[in-house]
Amino acid sequence: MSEPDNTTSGGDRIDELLALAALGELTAADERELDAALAADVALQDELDADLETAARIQAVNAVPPPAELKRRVLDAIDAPSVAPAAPPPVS
Amino acid sequence: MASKTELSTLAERVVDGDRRAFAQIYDEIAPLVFGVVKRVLRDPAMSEEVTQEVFVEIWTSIAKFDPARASLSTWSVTIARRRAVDRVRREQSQRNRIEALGHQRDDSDIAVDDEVVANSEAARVQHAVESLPDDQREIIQLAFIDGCAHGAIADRLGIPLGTVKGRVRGGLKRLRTQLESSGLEDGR
Repeated sequence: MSEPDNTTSGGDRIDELLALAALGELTAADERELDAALAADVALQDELDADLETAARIQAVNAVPPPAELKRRVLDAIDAPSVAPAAPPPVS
Repeated sequence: MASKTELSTLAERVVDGDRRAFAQIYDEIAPLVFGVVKRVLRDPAMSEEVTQEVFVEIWTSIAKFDPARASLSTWSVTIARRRAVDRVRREQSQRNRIEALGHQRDDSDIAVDDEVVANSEAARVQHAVESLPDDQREIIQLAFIDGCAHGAIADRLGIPLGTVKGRVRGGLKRLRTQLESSGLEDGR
């Protein structure tokens, strides 16, 4: 679905990846490609963060309370022995 | 609604396994998460299931949350969108999805929207969306308000995938500028 167009230039491909990230549609391969681009361009992270924030603000218009019983199900789910918060990443 | 700082403080407590803090976070952001998921999936039962998955991911991955990069709400909505889209990919063919999206909004959706419009943040965001050029507005609405995947948008509008992605990107950039210029800088 996110197959890059052969005619897509580097900058256009980055725009595509940023759009897909905002849409929640990155494939695993896309994610690796975007991660590499982010590692190579610090400013790109700011672009991505800003896009995600804008997308989230638009989507917040759709806020709707879930059924009340869902909270209990969620809290029960995190109490499962196999579900624990991951340790923070090591500080380099 | 708790402030960004308050939510970040709660997130720090969740990293230490504080279930009460997690429950507070749930209370604050569950409508955001559920709303995003439901808009993409439509199906209420599936939306509840995916919302639960989102919160389990928030619980298990909270250490990855970086308050310097995003608010907890933004981070959570991003997870919600991705998980909902993943579910669509797994459970439905794109064709079925397009057909489902052809339906009019139901009454509950309209009621929710009306209620939310009363909120100034939502009203400003909607105003900003409405002020976009037609081609960008249509795509931003389909993608982020109607919850369509970009493939469904391309099929629906009869335009190339690359055009959809380009307009998503262009629309987001323009919206960001408009929201910033309207003084709305405390986005969640």
